[in-house]
Amino acid sequence: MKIIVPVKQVPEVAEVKVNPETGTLIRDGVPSILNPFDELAVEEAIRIKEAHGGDDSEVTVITMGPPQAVDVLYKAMAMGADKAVHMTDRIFAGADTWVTALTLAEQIRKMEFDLIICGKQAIDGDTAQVGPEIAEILRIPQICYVRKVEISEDGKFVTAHRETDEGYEVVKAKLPVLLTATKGLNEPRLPNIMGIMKAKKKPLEVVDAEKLGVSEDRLGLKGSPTTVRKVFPPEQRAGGIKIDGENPKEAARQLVEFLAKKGVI
Amino acid sequence: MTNKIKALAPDEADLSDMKVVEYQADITETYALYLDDESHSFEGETEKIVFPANEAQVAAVLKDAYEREIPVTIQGARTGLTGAAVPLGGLTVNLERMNNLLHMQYYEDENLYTITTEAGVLLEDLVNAVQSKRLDMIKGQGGPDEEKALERFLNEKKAYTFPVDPTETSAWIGGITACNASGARTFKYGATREWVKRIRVVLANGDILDIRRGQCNADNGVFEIEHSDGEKVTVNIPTYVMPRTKNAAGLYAKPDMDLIDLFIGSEGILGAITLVELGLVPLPENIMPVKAFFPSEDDAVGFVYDIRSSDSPVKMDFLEYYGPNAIEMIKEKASSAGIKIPALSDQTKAIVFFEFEYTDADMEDKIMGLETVLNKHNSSSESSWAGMERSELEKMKIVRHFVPETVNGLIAQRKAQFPKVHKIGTDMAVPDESLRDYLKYYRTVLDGQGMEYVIFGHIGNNHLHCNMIPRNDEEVDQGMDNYMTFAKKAVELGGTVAAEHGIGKLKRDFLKIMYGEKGIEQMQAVKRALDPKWLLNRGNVVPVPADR
Repeated sequence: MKIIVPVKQVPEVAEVKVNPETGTLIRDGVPSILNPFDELAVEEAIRIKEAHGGDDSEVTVITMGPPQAVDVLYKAMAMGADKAVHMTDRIFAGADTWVTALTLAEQIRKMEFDLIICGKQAIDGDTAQVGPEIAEILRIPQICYVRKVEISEDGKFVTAHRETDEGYEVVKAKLPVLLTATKGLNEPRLPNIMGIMKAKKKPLEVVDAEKLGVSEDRLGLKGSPTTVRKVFPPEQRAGGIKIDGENPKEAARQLVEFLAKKGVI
Repeated sequence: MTNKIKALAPDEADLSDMKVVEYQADITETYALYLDDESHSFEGETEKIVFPANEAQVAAVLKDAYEREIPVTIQGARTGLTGAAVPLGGLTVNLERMNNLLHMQYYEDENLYTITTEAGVLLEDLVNAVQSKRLDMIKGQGGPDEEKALERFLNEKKAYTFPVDPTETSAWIGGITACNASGARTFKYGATREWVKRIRVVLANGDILDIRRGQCNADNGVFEIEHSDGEKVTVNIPTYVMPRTKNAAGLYAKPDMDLIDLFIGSEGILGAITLVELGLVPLPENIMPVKAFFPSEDDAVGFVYDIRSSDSPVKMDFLEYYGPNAIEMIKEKASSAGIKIPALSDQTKAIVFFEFEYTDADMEDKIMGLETVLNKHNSSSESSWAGMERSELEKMKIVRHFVPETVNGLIAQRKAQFPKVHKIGTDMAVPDESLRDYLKYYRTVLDGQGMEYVIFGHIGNNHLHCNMIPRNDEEVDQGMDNYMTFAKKAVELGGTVAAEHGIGKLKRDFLKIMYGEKGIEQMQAVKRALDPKWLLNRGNVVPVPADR
């Protein structure tokens, strides 16, 4: 079984602060991590490979991102993925979700796969679009928000529990299929020393725009049909007022005065 | 080289804009935190708290107090555990307004960058500014050399940091210098002392010493300090021999020592440190933090002995330890915090947490070497938890904090029923060869009594914290007796009674075990030479003599 896991490097959201003047994220000094939902996808891929393996089984992780995004590929390989593809090129920069999906899908199209597992969304953008878009571009079925996966004995079908607002649906599909992983799917393993060492020796293919063979005007910012026009934080609500009268009577007087001024009474 | 130094007269200072808090009601209500430290062991008192904003104001305040013979407590962030910053009356001088980074310097011969800061700079702020190279605030602040050094630093591709890495990042630079703080990476990089290049100190009479490392060394145990009014004082260094361990107990003393070392770790009894220049190092290319799991304490200790030996395949940045009862606490907290540590099984009785640096070229040799040592002690790299990302190290550090958090929680619970109950945590360290014996001694004594306790900490430096958790008032007394017994044993094994927390006001009795009556008197003599009226940080390190 060949499994492909598209992943993304994201800032550790818990530590990100917003610059109140510009409304942009302050990313300095914030550690980058493997998107936690992608970690679930990597773990599930490794488990499926371990359970349904065969000698030709392998898990390939793929990311599109700047040079330092290679760290998340190594993390996934330290967990147990077999090889990695790093799509990196200035031309890819500024891609919206559609072009991101297109770029990844054009690469995946060249590879063998039975199963693609994504995280349901990245914790920085929160769009949850790239996974489904990859499935659309590749014209394969998709099952999103999956929290349980079973592969049939013959390795031809997948049965997945798909989370909904009311409960879950049980969906069966013929491979190849794309899944997106949600919380509860599994408990990702922690890397160990040996895993890290082995990861450094696993094959890592670097793909740029030329190698991908897609024309420049379909890629990156240039190819993106959508652009972010403006980023802004939600309007800050003004703090309430606090009345510290020296005694209840005085406090009541201040309150009445305040309400009167507002024209409420 | 000389053993003489001349103090500078302070500049005129305008005190009209200095923040002063002098109403007792304000002090005891709004400023109550300034009468306490992290030991929460006794309540301080003070007549007045002042917040000078520069060295000249500090000097003017001390000079005035000297003339009027008012005791002064110089205070940092109060993160200490020994009451050293807690005032016992008189005037309190808090340096929180002296919180500017000043300038950078580069020493070509040592290929060393330094950053100079005021005493009240938060350690965390310094580390963040340095690591991220966000240093706009010091642009244009220094002389030409310093501006050049800054420029050069900003152009460095590598990230730099203060290597000692003290755990309490809300401490201040003046404080970590005055108590010679150690930290996570002290195993590799030593304590703060090793990284201090220069300090400025305001003496009891308001005079100022500007001390650069390597410019004033004792001659046969003697320094000569000339005050700004021409008066000369002789300082005789104590003659005791310091232990061969990480140490924060008492004054530093060696016959040919640098004057700067006398003030570092002196806990404010000799002067107020107002400015510090600290060395920085590049962050390593790759670090691998690891938690390794062992089936017994013996295995873990054996691993530590082997991995820090001179022929070890891997040089560690630090080595931390959690014993069996600490692991129970970690398991409980981890499951309630939702952190899963799969490799932590029921068979795990001891954890060693370590970190090492590697490059792509030497990685395999290091790991295969490490694997051999782990296997020898019934552990393996397959069953470890290792990290490649900084966030993984942070997660591991969270797990480390589970132990003290649990202990503090238990203590708070028991205190409700038995008000006398408090945590009794040791801070002893012993020389390398005594680690195994000392750990066994802890266990024999405490298991024999049935005392509840937990052992964890800096095993690389043979500096394990044994926290006793008394269940009632009798056990508090028992725990205090134990502390004395453990201190004596540590000294007998050639160790120290205070490896990192210092002596302050709470641990003076233990210092006496270490250096004897004579050692205490020699420290008092140093204090008397520099502070004849015995005004600065009274009660720290050594007792106040009857005539003062």
